[in-house]
Amino acid sequence: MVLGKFAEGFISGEYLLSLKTSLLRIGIGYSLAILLGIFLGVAMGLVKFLDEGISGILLGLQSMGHAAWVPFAVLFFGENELAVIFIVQISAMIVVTMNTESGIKFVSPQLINQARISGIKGISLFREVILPAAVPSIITGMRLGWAFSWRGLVTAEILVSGLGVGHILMRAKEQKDMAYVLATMLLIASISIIVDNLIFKNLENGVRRRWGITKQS
Amino acid sequence: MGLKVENLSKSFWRKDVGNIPVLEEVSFELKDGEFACVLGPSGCGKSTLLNIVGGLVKPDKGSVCVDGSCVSEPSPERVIIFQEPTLFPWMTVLENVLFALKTKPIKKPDKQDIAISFLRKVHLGKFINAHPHELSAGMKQRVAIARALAMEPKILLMDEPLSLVDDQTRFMLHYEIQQIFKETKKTVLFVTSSVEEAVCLADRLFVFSARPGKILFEQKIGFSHPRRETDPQLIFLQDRISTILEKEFEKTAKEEMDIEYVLTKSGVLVPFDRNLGSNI
Repeated sequence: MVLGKFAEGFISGEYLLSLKTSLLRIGIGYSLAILLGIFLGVAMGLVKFLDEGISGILLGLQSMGHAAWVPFAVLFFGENELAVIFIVQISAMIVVTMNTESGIKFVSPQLINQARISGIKGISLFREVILPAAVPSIITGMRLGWAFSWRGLVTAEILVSGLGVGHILMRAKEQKDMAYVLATMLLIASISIIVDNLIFKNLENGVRRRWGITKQS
Repeated sequence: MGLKVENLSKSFWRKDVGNIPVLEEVSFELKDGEFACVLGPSGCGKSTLLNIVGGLVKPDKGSVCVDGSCVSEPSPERVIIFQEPTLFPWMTVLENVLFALKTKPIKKPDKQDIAISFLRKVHLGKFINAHPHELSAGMKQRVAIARALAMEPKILLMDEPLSLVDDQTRFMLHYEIQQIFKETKKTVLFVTSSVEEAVCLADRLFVFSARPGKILFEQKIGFSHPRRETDPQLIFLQDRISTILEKEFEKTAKEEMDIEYVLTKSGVLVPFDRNLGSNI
């Protein structure tokens, strides 16, 4: 029955239509989250007082659920796309920031010394040693951020906006259509997993292969 | 001209034990092309000495000068080969060597030629496109050596570079290192805790005391390179130096274990209270 509804959702075009809206929102929100998150994380990893100042605040913000951002976003942006994108963004950004920061902070001092011996310093040291050394950690942050941004998106669509996959869930609930609820949940999970497998797994495996951390089979 | 180390002192501060002096008034001078070994028990500040000469650590007192100008930061003129081969895991062997040449004013294709020729010198010509994780510990260390040589430093600083390598590879590398230095005539400061290794490689040997490290005595070794570890003359020398070092080792052991330990004739440490009269 769930699968039947799943197929029905596609045939009627409702899924595709709302997916289009949702994917656009998540695309924008998530991209912003990555850009800002990596930037902030790098700044925190390099500058100590920023780290001490911000990391406590970030942890505090992270412990708030995505739903807790809804009132703020609605009052600030109004009940519109921007509010949804903001919630997606903030949900994903914190985990990206924290992972980037720890990746940068825990680069082996041996590698940095090695580079300094070769006469490499300043921006070049950052771009060619510190950043690549932090890449595995940044990718983990991006993967987690991807999952978190979906959570933010669904929350926002249920509570704020009149479109998207979250809204289908909401309507299905109002119609007391359990099969449709489950089918939609299945849809959300599978999209998230498919993208994760297509993009992030490959990215991560690529890095692991280069670093030699893959298991030999 | 060469390397001049004057009155170096350094101590580290630790919360639980307070100030630990690791180097005390170390002075020596190396002429260009000399191969010097620093030999001493572990924890005697040998590596600290090397890091100070390399410019990675600042001394509390004293100075390090190369050709008259004093050292304050790391530079490609003084390359350190660390105990663990620090290769960048995301680069291939060749890229690792090329990366070290980055700041050299040489044309790119020339850099490539230099890198490959030094990798060939350490017999890794077939592995230039491998990533570090595909290599054994000995091979990685050989890449590190090739990288250091390719940078053409005035002074090469080696911090127990072969201590993690298996015996066969180590003997082979001892031989290769001597060959390479016969050809390139670099000034080398080589830190080791193995008497065998020190005697095999050094022209001049500085024997260090236990912490705080200071030079106990200097031994000049004039035999021609390449030497073999099994040369009887070297073994004779080894034995003499070992006897002196054993006393130092006893001192370190006593300090570490905090009990009265005595050194038996065979060189075994036994706790004082377990001596049932076997030495009578």
